[in-house]
Amino acid sequence: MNRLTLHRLLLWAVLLIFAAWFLTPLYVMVVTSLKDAEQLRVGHLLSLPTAPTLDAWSKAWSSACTGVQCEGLQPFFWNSVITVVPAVLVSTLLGALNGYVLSKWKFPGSETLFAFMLFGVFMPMQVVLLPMSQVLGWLGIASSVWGLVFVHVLAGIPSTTLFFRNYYVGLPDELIKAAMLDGASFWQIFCRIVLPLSTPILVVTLIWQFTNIWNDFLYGVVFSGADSKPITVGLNNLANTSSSVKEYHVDMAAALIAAMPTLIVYIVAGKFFVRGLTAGAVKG
Amino acid sequence: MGALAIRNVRKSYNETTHILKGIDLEIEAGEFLILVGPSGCGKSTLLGMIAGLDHPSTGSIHIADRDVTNLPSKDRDIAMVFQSYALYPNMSVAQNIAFGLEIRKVPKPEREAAVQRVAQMLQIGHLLDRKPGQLSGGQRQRVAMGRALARDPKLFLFDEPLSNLDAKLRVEMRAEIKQLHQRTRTTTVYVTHDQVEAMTLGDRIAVMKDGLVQQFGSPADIYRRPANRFVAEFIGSPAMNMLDALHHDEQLLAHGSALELSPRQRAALSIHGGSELVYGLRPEDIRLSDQGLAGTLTMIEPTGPETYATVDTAVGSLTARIPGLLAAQVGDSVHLQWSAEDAHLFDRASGDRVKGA
Repeated sequence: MNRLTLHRLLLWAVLLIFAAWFLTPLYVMVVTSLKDAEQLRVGHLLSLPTAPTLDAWSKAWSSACTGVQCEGLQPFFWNSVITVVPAVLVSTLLGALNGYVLSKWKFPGSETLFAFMLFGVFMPMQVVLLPMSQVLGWLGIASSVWGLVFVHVLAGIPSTTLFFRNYYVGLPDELIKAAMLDGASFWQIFCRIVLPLSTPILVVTLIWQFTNIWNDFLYGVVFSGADSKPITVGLNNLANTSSSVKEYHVDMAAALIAAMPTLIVYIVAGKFFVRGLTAGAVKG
Repeated sequence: MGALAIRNVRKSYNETTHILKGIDLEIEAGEFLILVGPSGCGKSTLLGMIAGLDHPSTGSIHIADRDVTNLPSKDRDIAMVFQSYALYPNMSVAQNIAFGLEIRKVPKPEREAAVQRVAQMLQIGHLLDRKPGQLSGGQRQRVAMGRALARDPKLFLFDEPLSNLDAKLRVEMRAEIKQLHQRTRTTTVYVTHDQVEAMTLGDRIAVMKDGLVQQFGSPADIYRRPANRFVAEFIGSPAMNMLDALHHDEQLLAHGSALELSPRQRAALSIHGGSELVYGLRPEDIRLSDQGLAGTLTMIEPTGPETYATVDTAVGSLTARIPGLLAAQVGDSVHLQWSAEDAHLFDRASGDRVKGA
């Protein structure tokens, strides 16, 4: 019994130490963002704000300078939203469709095609920058939100296809056959049977795509125009715009604003994420 | 022409792997056809072709006098029960049963009537609102049958529907399938590897092996006059006793001992010509007796209603099926008797039944 409690104590101690270790940066960010310039100058990095204020947050959101403009992160935030939402939805849907075809409607060469698609998962993003900007130019969507959406959809399809294909391989083929005998078409089977059974992998893919695209900096900085820059670019510009005094509290608030959506998604849907990754085959 | 006709159907992959090597079968409306054979014999492939899920390399398939070889499944007016049941997990039982009708744009009141009719027939009325995940194996089986019945198809296909059930339930469901068929008289094709299912359910049985139909006939035919050694050994449990024998000077010898022949068999053998034969005896045709072939009991397997007794004799080891319990011990000396006309004669080289015997 004593040995057991000792083990428990040790275990807890180690876990708590690691938790503190990993949470410290977040703590510093939060407390710093709640201070004003005066408290920042006087206080210690770890000390709690003496008079908490949301001024830094409101400045980061609406009036901090990002280069010559001084409108805060707000416009960048909305740029990100209108890029991420269509890019996530379209890449997820196309991935589901690809996965459905590659697992349940195999054709000669479909395995090879899948193997080639897997290259896309591991391909470094830098490789496509130049050819892609040329393609966007030809399509006439360079430096626009739609160009950025297009790039994110293309870049996302390999991994979304991989997710869905591997999940659908676990769906019994007999389900599809039964539906075919019931008279259902390719699309009817997809919409009425396959998609309703995809909730776990849909959640995983949506979260995955959302965080990837929201956090993307490289495509955002290369392919966006002056009025379509995403929040990661905005944050970078905000932190790099020099004034006489470095406004750490505003930088921290801005970083938290930029990270907030992905944080919320993980907290709200994280349980589904793990459940989806470990979900087995559907039992009929 | 019949309700289902299969004409010279072949299936090969890459010109080298031959799954089906020329299948010809035909059944009348209302008949229950069994495709039975060991795994890999091509029976499921053949069923898949009838269902339209697979396509023959050559040959044709006709359902109710219509060539359906190149028709998609949905236009064949068939329904199928799968081994894994393949119920749609996202739909309730009622939705599962009605799905095929819904896809075919049958109006809602008719759909509901069909669900009610089927639910009553299969006694699953209390399950209609449940999801398949909440059902037991036997209940899922019933729902799968209900889904097939709802459309009132011309042809019913079963792909080893009972092999996922435990032994007791299997016997119950077997009886239910039989009753259902007697009531609806829908033409049915049923694939199984279980010879008991084949015998109990079938009007006609096609025994398959290596992509060929070994014998096609009524259960009685198949059992009483197996066309070759494979069919004889595959159907019946315990399996038929097989003794290698030599035909010489109007006599049949096994390990030097003469085996009795009926006049008919004698005549058949003299026409047959070949001398190397196999002499087959069903275990139930052998009796324990005071006289006859002497031997020693080597194994006794009581099953309750009958006992399987394995006896070592001069001609080889023989298993006999004795009614009731056997009051004897391993090592006891016994005598075996049978009537010559119950024996089956096969050519040893080809395995075929000796003509006329």
